Amino acid sequence: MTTPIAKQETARPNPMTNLDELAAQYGVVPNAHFRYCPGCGLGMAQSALMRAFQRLQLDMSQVAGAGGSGCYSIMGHYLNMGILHGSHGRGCAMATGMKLANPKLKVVNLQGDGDLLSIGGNHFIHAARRNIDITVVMFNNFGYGDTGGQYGATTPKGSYTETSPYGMPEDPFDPCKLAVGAGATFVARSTVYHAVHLTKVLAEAIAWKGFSFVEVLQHCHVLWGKRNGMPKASDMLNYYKENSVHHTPRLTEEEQEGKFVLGVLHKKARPEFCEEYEKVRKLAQEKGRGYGLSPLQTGSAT
Amino acid sequence: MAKKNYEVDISEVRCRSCGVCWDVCPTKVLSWKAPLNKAIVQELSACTGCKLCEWLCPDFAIVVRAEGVPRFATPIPEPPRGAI
Amino acid sequence: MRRLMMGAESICEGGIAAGVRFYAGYPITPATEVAEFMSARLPQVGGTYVQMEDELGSFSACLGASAAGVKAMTASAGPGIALQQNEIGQAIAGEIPCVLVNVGRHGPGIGNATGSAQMEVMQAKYGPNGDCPMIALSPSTVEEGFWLTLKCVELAERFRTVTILLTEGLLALQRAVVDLPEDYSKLEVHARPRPANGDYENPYMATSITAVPPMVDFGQGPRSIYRTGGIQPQHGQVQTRFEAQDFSTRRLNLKVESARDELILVDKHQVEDAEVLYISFGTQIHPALEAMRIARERGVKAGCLRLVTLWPFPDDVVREVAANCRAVVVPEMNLGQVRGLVTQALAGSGIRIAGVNHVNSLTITPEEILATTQEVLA
Repeated sequence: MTTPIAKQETARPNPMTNLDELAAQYGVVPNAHFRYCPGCGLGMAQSALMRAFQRLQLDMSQVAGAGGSGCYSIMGHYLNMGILHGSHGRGCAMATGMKLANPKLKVVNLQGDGDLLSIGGNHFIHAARRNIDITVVMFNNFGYGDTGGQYGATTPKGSYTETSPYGMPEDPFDPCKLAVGAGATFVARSTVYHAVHLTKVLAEAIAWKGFSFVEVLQHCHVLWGKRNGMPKASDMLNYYKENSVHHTPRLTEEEQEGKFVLGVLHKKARPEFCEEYEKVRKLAQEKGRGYGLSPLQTGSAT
Repeated sequence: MAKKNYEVDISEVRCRSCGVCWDVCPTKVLSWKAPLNKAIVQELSACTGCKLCEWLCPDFAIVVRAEGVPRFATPIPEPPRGAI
Repeated sequence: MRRLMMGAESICEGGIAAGVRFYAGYPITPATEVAEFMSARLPQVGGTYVQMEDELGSFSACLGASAAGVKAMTASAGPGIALQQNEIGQAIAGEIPCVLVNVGRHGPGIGNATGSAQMEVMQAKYGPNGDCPMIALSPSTVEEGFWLTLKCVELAERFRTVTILLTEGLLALQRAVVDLPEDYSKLEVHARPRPANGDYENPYMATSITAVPPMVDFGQGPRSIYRTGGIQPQHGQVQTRFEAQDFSTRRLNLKVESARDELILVDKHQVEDAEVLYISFGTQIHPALEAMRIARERGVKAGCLRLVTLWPFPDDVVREVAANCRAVVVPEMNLGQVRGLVTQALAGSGIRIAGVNHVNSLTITPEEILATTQEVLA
């Protein structure tokens, strides 16, 4: 009989920690209502993010957020982290600059679907390609919520929005496939209904070394939902529940058809950009391509 | 194993009557009350402490406390009554 | 250190000497060389060069790096600068320091990419949306490129705004012998203002309408929120939404305008007794100086006023220097942007104002300036 191993005394975070304690540590709740519509999925996503931070026991003073314009953009203010609340679409570019400037920061980029995939699409695919160690959390509410509910790159074909009164004529992206195609090393999807799953997926993404992307299906029942037969938040949560399927390697095409595939969809490490650039620095300092400048100026003087 | 008891604290002021909590609760602990349809506890003994209402409340209006777990030193701030 | 150097390299060295350790750029003629030199030099001094996917990404990455505590710089030209106007405005509104090098090229549109011009004077100030302040400096020699870039970085950090080094393809691509300091660590460069007691979370605590609020980088304090689009009300005051907007927009402008005296840099040549004044900037001061010399030989009392600072525009200096002149000639490689500003400054003075305007990528010749001088004095 083997000797039982003594149980390790670790400060494992309690996943059932009460919200008041969580909010005090990982959130910043104002004495006002959140600036989301009542029932908005963003409030739920925010809750999940706080639980993800707790799960990782992050030092919040070293977490920095980036974000653009949209309904979600106020979220950074409700989380206990620094944030660069910047211009529409530039989140991934700003996050790239932040991480390169101070690689010790944990950089979390919060963006909406229109923000990230349309105006910010270029920065998204290149940040993925570079495999810079940032986490991009995309809140997908099927369009542009903040400006009143116009269609966007993820709006389901045929659905009614402010600028598609006869039904959306275009096919949407699959953001996760786009991320994989661009070179993202960690790609996952969840919904705000799947509270525990979302927390785990967010935590795994934030902890991942390299470019991680999480698509969060976050309902906008006030605009998209109402125009498409789901006027209550619960209606859309049900919609996510009924139309989601968890990813497994053996999932067939028929099983996936018309469903949201949830889970970690892609996970394959490759060299991270900040580390690769550190190699460039070492090479530059050794080779001293100083264009004839003195060693004092090349910084390699000893 | 003895059944655990839970307390469900709902901030009436933070609640904005979205209806998610009472729809999602698996044991019908929650309901709503006129005139503003704010969430209320209708059957506390049915609570299993699953925290789905707490996690899914977008307004951070609900805290589900297991018996013996005190309220945290700093409560979740409440907006002034009548605030939008 | 004395050697032959290209303008772009001198600008790059000026940035590095000032402490710039982050450059994000995109290739565009004739600013590409600045990026190339930076890509070689920055890793040598422990900095980072990243080539972004477009100019908007470049400027945004610079903002991110600056908010995370590293001095940042980018260079672009014509169409690229036009693309970045949104981000420039965001940086100004968010009070995040950044330096933009605008290497002027012929336009509009693609224009003659390899041709030089000075067409972005008005755009520097009025390019971004909204009422923005601007500090823009224009070098006229390769060596001055070093010092003015250093000054641009310093002013950007000090005033927490975007400063523009308004230069030209002609300067960035020319080679000249320069005399630069050996040891950059001996140069004193102003840093960004920090909170007196060391830590707080709001980087917009402005206490007066000309204040530059102290800055806290990410990772330094508990929690800094940078809002590049937000309205920042006066700290310590309760203001309505409308008062806050008024305070916010005026303060962004006044924090720069109130320091005009130290921001206005000019060079005066023989202006005391001048009856005709040549007002020029950038590389076009050289034909103006030559024209002045020839005019003096011919008995015409000409003087030169070189504008080093384009923004805030030195209209008070222009008025003061041109006070006793009969005429002013403004040679510039655009259709009259500085001439327009000079006309505004000298409104009501009765001084005759003429321009020599080249939009053909060729520099202005002293003969043309002299011909215009004759016309305007006749």
